[in-house]
Amino acid sequence: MVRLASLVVAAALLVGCGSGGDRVTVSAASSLAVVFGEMEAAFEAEHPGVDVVLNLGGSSSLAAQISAGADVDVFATADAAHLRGIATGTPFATNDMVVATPRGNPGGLAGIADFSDPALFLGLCAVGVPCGDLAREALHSAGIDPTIDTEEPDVRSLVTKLLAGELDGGIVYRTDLPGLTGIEIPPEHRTTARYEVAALTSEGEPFTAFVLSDAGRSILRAHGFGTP
Amino acid sequence: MRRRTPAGVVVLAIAAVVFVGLPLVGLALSVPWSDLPALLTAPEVATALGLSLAASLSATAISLVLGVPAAWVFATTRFRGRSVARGVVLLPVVLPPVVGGAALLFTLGRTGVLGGPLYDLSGLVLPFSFAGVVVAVTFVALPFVVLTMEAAFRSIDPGFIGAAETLGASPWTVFRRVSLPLVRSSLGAATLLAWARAFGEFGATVTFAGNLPGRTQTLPLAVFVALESDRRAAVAISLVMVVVALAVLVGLRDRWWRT
Amino acid sequence: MVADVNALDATLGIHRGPFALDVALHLPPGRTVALLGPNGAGKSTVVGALAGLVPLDRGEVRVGDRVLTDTAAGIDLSPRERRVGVVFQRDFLFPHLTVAENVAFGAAPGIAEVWIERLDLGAFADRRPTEVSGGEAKRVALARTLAAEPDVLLLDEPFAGVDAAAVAALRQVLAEHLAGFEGPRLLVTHDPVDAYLLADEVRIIEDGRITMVGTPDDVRRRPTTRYAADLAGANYLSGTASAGVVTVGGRGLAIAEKGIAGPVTVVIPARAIALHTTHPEGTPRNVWLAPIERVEDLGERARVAVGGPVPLVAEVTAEGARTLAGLPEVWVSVKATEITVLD
Repeated sequence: MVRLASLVVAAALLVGCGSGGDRVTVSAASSLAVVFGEMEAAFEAEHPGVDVVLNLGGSSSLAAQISAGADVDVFATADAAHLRGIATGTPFATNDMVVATPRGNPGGLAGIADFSDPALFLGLCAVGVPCGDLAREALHSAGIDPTIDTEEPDVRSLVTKLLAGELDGGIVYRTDLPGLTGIEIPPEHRTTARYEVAALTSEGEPFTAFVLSDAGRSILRAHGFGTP
Repeated sequence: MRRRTPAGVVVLAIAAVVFVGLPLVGLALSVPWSDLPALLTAPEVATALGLSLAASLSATAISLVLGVPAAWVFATTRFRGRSVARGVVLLPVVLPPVVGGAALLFTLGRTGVLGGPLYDLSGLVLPFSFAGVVVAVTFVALPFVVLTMEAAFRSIDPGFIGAAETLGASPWTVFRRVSLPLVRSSLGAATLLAWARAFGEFGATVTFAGNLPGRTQTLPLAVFVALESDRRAAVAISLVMVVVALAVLVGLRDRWWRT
Repeated sequence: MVADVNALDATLGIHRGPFALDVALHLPPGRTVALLGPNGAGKSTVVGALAGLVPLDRGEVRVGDRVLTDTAAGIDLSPRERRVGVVFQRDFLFPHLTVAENVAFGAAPGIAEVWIERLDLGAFADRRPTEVSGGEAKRVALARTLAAEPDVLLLDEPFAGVDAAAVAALRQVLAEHLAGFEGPRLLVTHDPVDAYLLADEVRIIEDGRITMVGTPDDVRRRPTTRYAADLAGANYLSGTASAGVVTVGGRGLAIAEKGIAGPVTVVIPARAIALHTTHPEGTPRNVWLAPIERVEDLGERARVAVGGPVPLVAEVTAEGARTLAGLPEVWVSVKATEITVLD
């Protein structure tokens, strides 16, 4: 199956070489930063001469750029809503929300319930960012009214502050845990991000196919994502 | 005497105005005029505006109090390491603001080099507080005061200083009654530059002070966050910033050049 | 009080690259010393060194037994502590203060008003320095310096920037206030007229060194350097004009211009003076008998200094000088047309 796909990709590349050139622009949600970096390396190794360019950011800004006419070949987002009106997406990964603390849990958090403790320095992603909305859904499900100290514009800056030890706790994706200590959210309250990917141009189809392929899925799982 | 301006110069000048003006026109055209009242009266907007004004005015005051003496020392005293000291003070002009914010975080954060002991001694935490916002925007605004005022102090004819000294003036009197008044117009320009820089600061603020509506969310942060969730609100808040900035710049007109 | 007034003694040594200054000065109180020299001679540097604005490489400055500078002992008082007043060539009146505020800058309370009146600044006391004329600005600068009640007064090119019409009046003002200042006074200038008319003693400075010290008369009549001799090529006298006659030293000299009145400076070139052994006939209106003080042989020509109410230095041929040898007196004649009236 992979063999056939690769042949199709090669043929498509030979035939499709033209306006897109050898460059594939991929806009991806920032929580996909590390895993898509590996995807890029693996894909370029299999397709020499192709340069994958990653454009990372908040899903909403990426969607806005595309609507404004940015030359993007692939769009991978943590929130299917952002794909609406642009393309039809295929689910390719899941990512659970989890409570994270600096390594060693210096603030002594027990779990999601501590998010209403005003004495702790806590952070979430901002409203409108998938990470932020999912976190709030989980808190709401658990009946917790959070007292937080910052709403970070994207999950990477939230993780940075946790890694630096400036925050006692935050709610991030499971894939962001390396370097941090994680505390599970009880399954009845846990929320999960569902990522969808869509090729916006024909140049983007090979990479999209790669993401959905077995090779792509094993990379995703290695980084902590779930695969549907 | 009527001055004749070469046509080429006029063309370039017009290009400059258009280059800066076009995006503003684009912004104005994207404004959802019918929804504007509702968007603008949202409490977050008023809060963010209040925070922006409070932080930028505080930062301007601190920048002047610290920056003017620093500029005077750089301009009038020769000491070893002067160019290094001056380079350090001017660094935030060149560095990306996020780098500045990160540096502040690693130094003054709760686990920072200085912030850690500060927290242990007094319980004072700068990140995620309004004070942290003031620190972040002062960090980027102070160099502009030093830059402007050092040039101004250097341009004072040393003969005036000499004359004042022979008349018996102490160094403080010379500074207060001769040097400062002679650079009055530059002082106005420095104040305006510092305020404008502080008012528009984003990267250092969000990296060091975080983003919380009502405590640390200044107007630029509000715009950035709104871009994620409600673009119409983002445009509306951007409009507020443009209007406030224009009001200040146009309102002062030539007044801050005056001697 | 006179008892508090002291002399200024200074030895100044500065060696900065090609520029070298090696000057000794003794300024007694109550006398005006003129430092006269061409541009670039080091005059303004002397002022700067005395005021503490220019550091010395070697030397001392004392006022009485107060040490202001002593390079050997490492003493160098700041200008503020010296009480040496300076009227600068460029005035340096503070443009952001009014005339009255400028005068009051270094003055004790109440003193400024005294000087504003003495120097007649009342009419424009509330104006800014940029709004007054060059001569008026100089008076303001003088008032400001004197109001600070310094022990020593230094004037650097006091007529710079003053237009010709105002110079005579300014000279009177300076003469009056210099005389009224009890401490040592140094007047720095390139113009010998200033020196002759305002100073009690003249020191000529050339290339950073004092080349001649003497009274204005000495400089004029017995110049010891070429520069001084160049300066001496003309006689400068102060007098009062009225209806075609200038009265100098009590003697009236007829001049060509009839319409001038008031204080004037007259210039009589040394070569325009004719000397006769007997009363001359002819047109010259100005003729008088004067004692011969000195005859100086200059080769083809000779310089004859005559005394009396109108002291002059005349330049005559060597032959002419020979006919005067041994005579105690000589008839002096000067044509009215040869007398130039300044101002």
